[in-house]
Amino acid sequence: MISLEHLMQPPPSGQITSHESHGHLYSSEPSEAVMTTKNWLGQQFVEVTVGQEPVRTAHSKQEARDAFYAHKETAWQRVMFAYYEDGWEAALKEIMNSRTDGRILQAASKVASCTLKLLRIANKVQELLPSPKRTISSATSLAHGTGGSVVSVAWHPHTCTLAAVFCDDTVRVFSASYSITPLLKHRLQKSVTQIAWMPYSASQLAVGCEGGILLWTLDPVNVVTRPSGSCVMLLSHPSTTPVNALSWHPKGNLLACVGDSSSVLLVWDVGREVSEVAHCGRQDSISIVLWSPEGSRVFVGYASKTMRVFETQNWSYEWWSLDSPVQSAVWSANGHVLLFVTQEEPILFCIGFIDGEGVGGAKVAAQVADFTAKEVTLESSENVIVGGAVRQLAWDPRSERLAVIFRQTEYIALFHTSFQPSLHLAPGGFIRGEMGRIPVTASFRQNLASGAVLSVVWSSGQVQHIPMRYASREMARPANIAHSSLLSPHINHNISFNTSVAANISLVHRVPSLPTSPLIGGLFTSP
Amino acid sequence: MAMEELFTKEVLRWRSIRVLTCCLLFQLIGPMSWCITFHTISQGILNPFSILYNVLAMWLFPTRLAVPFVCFVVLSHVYNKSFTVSAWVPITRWETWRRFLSLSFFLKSCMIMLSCAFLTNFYVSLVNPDLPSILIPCQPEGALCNKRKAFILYMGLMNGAYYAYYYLMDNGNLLIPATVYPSRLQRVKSKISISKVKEAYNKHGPSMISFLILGIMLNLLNGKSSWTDGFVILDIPLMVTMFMATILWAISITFFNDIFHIFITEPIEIPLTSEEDINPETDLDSWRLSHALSSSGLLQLLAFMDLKTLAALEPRNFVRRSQIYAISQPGGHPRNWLGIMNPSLNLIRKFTDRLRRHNCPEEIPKVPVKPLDPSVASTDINKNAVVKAPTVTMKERLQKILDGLKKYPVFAYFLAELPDATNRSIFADALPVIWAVQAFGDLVSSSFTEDKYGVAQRNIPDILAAFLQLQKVVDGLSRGTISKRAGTSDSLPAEFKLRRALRSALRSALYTVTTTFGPSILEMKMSAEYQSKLQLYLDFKEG
Repeated sequence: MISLEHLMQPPPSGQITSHESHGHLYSSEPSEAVMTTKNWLGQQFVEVTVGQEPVRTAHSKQEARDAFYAHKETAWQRVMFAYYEDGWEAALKEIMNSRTDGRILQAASKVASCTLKLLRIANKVQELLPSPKRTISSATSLAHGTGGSVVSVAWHPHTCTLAAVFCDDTVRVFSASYSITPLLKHRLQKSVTQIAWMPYSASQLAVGCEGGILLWTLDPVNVVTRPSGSCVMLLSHPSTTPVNALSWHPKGNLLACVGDSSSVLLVWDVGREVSEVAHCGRQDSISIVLWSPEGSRVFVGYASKTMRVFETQNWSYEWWSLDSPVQSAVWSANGHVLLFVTQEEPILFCIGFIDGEGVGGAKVAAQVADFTAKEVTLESSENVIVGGAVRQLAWDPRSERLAVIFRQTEYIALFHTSFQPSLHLAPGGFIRGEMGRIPVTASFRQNLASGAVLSVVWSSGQVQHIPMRYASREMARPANIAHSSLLSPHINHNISFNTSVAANISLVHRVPSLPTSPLIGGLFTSP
Repeated sequence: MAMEELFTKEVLRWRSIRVLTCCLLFQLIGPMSWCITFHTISQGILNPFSILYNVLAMWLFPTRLAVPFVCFVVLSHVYNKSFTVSAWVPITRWETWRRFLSLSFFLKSCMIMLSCAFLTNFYVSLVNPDLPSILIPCQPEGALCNKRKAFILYMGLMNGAYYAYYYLMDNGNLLIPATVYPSRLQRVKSKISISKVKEAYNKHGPSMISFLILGIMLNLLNGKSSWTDGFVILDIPLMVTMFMATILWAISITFFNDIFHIFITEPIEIPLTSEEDINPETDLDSWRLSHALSSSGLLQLLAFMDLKTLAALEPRNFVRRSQIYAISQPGGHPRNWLGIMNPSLNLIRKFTDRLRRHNCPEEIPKVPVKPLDPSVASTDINKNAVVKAPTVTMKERLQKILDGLKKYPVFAYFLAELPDATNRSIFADALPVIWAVQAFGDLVSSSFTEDKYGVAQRNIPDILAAFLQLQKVVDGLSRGTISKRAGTSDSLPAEFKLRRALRSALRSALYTVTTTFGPSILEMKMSAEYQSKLQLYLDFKEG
């Protein structure tokens, strides 16, 4: 199994990764790196800047107390302030937390604890009733509050256009061919969780937010910098508001979305504004939804320790139990391999799928990479930590480069991936930004004929493009790949690195469910 | 046997039976169990075993299901006769009144009203058996009994009348096919939720004002007593029972409506080829996709849904799609391709012509009187062309008379065309066109890699021309009426949504084709206008 030890040394301090050429990552001074990127991308360089105007964090994400220094208060004062600021529920919590203070009676703390428990039960009952006013879960809004102005970016699937979400819940659209940067702002566009361009369309951008999905229509030849409210359409359903995640069908006619208030998977026919519940279960809310690139499967990651993959004909599913909730997942270009990471384990898992009746997923997910945090010595004899808990995975559209963004560390791990004949991970290197900057999110450009461009949003709000030039491998026939890799009993050697480091531990087990696939059963066994 | 008849007999009949079964099961598990439980508790019996015993007894001997069974059979009959796949848009006020005053509307409304009245009374009798049933006559001295009975009956009839108006006049009978088709159980489950109950109550449920008005009105109509006697019927048990019964009725009718939609609009898979292909002299109206595409109504809609599904670029459709690009042996004719292309392009072109005729009649090219020679034309796209009736002069005369009448304000009120009504009525029929556009966008792009014999590729210019013509007409219409501000509560009527969906489908289809073929698409023989339009698509400048 490949690990971070196999990757080359990160760039030295003071240098940032500028580009990849022939399999090697190169670094240079920041100004020089930008020049290199501009030279490499030429007319297709998209600069994400907001000009002179300041971008303030949205009111929903900031609190007045942040502006003041903390000072010592008595327990009663804390209770009183909690009551004034957040109501009596917060005051009860404060009483409960102050049991060790000595000034609050133990009895009062117990009463507060019991009252809070009753409140929780009441809230659960209330959850049965639909209510549009809910807050975004911490899992989905984790990209916010990183300090930078840009929160996330999304590349258009066919053009050199980049949409960037800012911390003030506005979206700006940057294009290489136009100097005008449309600003998308709407009164309903609050707590933006995800944006996605509609495939096979020049102009439709879906913005998932608190009130539902806002579908912006931007005329590509229009010179309006501030599209009006008539350019936006709201797709709202009580089961999926606020929106946690959304994903377009690769053809662009359907849009899957999930909400924070229930475990409903909803599919919109965007043109007709008609929605249908594809699945409603009894689990926790869904945090991730991902349509496979060929459109025949949908991955769904729950806030609880389960995940499901649906096939899109009859919407039957197979599900897997996990040790911790899914943090991020990506489909391979052919839709036959799903890579995912969980919130707690720094391990990359892989599940293979075969075509046929049902979902056709492997029973057990294999571990293919270990991202455990390690201390690495730089050229300058400086020791740095790399790896750890993963924030996001990003796989390029041809599935040849896999970027792994970590939550705490400054370095992005890059792997070269191929299917010859099975999934093969090779070390690429570490990508580094400016000193002290942590990567927030990353996205690969979608419409390149060869090579790749990785756009990284750093915690400073800066968006850096890293061009990667390499000879693209001829991809084998997808069906053959899946069969050859997954039907073999020697899975440990198929999913391996350099034939020496084998994936010999399998922890994630699929739970037998009614709509199982008869094709894969028993073929993919745990060692 | 005609294909539509076969569809009604073999498909719709069984689907209706499934709807009935599902609804009766729901009656047992839902409203009836609730009524029995409520009645048991209201008698002061709080023992859960007794309640369970009563409910189980009802489940094991469901003789009481006879009334809901009859009601739902009647409703099912009305639904089967009245459902439509395109929204009804009246062109003039007179058309609305004509429909409202028609015998068909009257008969169907009566059937719905009676079913609803009996169903409401059935729930009343379950919740509170002490209240009089409309089937059992009252004692001669029972004035209160008569009043209560009339109240129950009229309440049911009134709810039924409201529902009949919604169903028959307000497009309640419009079948909207779903976006995706999960299992039936999953779809039925998604229709049973607290939000759905709330929605049913808000839509068809009772209001206290209607209770009061009906109570007072009934008493006023009964002229012998003073008006204050009217409040006698507003006793608490009657009110509570009626309130509960009408809520249960609203839930039941909404559930029946949803279930009917779910089962009737289920997709069907129609074979591309059949045994008749081997022997073409047999029945030409056999169960084949090409014939279904040329039909009308629900069958045509489901056929286009099937075509859209098989055209989708998903691996599971590959085998079925390969039949489209196959050629007949012996002979080498692209029979399957032409079989689906002719009716689809006919539909798109007819739709374009309808829009053009109304919005830009000057652009319609003059068609030569000479009929097209089928041997010259590459495809028989005018197979379904409407033959003009010989009574043109009569129509013209009638039109002149109507135009003359429109000059008078009274007649103008009824006969004048409502704003944008014709366009709306045309777009109400757009769903099969949208699916045809989506399907052919996918089929053309999949032909890039799958069409071994080039059967589809020689018709690509025809298909693209049809798309671009339609897009030109649709884009030429004013957009003012179709926009709605995001966040406003009222939703647009179905025809407006379809108009927007058609524009979106056309763009997506053209982008799919241009993205797949790249600049080589410009090498096809097309007019300069269409070439320049395709260039915009290649550059992703068409929004």
